[in-house]
Amino acid sequence: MRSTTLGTVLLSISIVFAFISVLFSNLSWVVLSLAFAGAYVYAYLRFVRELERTDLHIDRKVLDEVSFAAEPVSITVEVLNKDPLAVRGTFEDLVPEGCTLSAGSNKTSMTLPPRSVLKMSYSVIPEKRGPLAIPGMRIDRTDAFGLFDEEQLIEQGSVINVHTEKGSFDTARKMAGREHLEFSGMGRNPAIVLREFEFDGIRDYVPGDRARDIHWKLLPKTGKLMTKTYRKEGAVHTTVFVDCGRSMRLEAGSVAKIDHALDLSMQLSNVLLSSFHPAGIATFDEMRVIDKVSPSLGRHQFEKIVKLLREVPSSVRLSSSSSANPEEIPPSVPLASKKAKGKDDGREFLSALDKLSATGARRRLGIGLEGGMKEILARSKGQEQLFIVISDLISTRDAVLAGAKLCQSTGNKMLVIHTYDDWYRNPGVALDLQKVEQLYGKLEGSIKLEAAFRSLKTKYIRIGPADTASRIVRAIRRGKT
Amino acid sequence: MIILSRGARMILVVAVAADIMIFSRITTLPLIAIAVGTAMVLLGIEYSYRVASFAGLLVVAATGGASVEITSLLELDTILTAMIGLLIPILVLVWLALSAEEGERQQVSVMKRPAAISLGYAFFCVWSVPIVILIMSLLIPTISMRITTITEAAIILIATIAGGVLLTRRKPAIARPSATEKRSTK
Repeated sequence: MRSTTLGTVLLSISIVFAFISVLFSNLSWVVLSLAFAGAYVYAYLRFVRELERTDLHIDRKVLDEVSFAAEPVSITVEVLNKDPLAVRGTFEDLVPEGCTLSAGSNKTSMTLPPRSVLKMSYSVIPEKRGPLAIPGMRIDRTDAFGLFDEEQLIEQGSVINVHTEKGSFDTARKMAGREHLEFSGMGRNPAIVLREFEFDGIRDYVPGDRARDIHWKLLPKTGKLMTKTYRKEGAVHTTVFVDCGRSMRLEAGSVAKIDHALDLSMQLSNVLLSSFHPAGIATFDEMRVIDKVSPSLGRHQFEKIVKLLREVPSSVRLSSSSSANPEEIPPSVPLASKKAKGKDDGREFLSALDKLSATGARRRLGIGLEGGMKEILARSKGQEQLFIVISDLISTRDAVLAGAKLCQSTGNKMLVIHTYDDWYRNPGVALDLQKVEQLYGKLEGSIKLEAAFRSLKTKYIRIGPADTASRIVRAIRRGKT
Repeated sequence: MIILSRGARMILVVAVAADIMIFSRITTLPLIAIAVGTAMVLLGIEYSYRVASFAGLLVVAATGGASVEITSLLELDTILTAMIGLLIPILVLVWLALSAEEGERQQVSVMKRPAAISLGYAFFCVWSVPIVILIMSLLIPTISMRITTITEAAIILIATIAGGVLLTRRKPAIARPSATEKRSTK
């Protein structure tokens, strides 16, 4: 608790009166000094009590149904003072980190009388996608006498789930009518049959077979009736798995891998749904499947997918680029040391991740992706599945490989969209020989990984931040995967 | 909690001024000074302007201090004069003057517990001189010491500072914004 200027003046006057008392040998000045000190103590104790018994109810409403990154989000706040005492000070609704105030005001100075309501309206522009937490309301409280002030946080926060930029939705909508992505396989559901009768084989006639299925041309050759068998061929159920592991969430360049993966998954799902492919989505990390929307063709399937993707955790910006030239760091000692620390932290984190993915290291169980796939396969009742996995294959590499093996052994399909880590980093200044060698080493490792996937009959595509969903769809259609 | 309206506060200010005048040596100059100070406090309350009230309070307090002659706090009549003629009126006047900005809508309230504690603190400080002398005479009955006005003033000031520090040591148990939340916004 801080004393205001008036409080300091009051105390100073009290001290001055004490001096006068000593100077003139008159105790009345001491009594005056005591009276001022008593008033100061009363103000202090009263303010402490006021602060402790604060009873505010904050009702915060986000007016926009869906919030998009880089678009204004309107917020209204109502503060009800339930206490019989007035609350004096400056009320400020805290804007979440990564947001800028665009219109209105989130701050007001006033005395909020007992049992009355304060209303504020303002708009913020979220800079990036993800859940944005409003920590609460900050009140710069002042006491009834203006002698003290104190900052108080009313921890009644809210979370705004901000979706990716609006342009991404427009792209998804445009792509839905233009692009087609078809994966056919054994279908069980009549509603998803593409070509109902696909020749499968010939067998001996069994009474009850339809006359049109009998292979009449074989009758003179074999002397017995043979029946042609068909199988239904239809669109396979598709689940897009989005890797939300720590490595995916790190943002080292202009685009975070998780954000790109999220846009792609949304657009691919819409393309699949528009082609009458039952599509679903699942998010996973190193340990578990975070959330899932089962493949379906329902009317609100895309809305369900969008709702799920809104909950995906946001990216984390690296404090300093690992490609930054140390010579460019300003000579200011504290700043330089801070930056160096941040850089070291980033490197330590990445090296820890590399250790996780290193060959020869303890194999990760891959519980997350593998478990999710097994669950879907167990519930599929023999329906062929397609799994599209969007991952950077750093922290979840072994899990994806295990998933590919599972798909091969169970006769399902898998497509791996590899968000190649190096392409998402800032190119930075001229590379030295050591870094170039490192990059080649990583690329070589990635090519080996691609070969491993291909040997498991898994389709593979390596992408960078410039690769759009339509380019990926075309590449898949042209068989470049 | 005791709640007072603006009218009640104004009457109280006048009463306090009258009380101080009764206990002070009435001459023309202190009378004028106390009247001017009281008028300033009243105007401050009327127009919800704390600065004017505070200035008026200083005028009244300084005049009261100069007018009331207290050389010792070892006798009951001087203690009563100090408490009724100066301490309580000035405490009330400080409270009224500093709560001038509350206006009519916000009725000024007194919180009983803090008020009781601070009044107890003030009374204890005034009585600190007789208490100290009593303790000393009980512990060392043979001592012969001369208690001057400066000694009494020193005892009261030590009690005031020690009590003040003890009472204002407690920090409120509330949530405070962290460093990242202390950001300036438009």
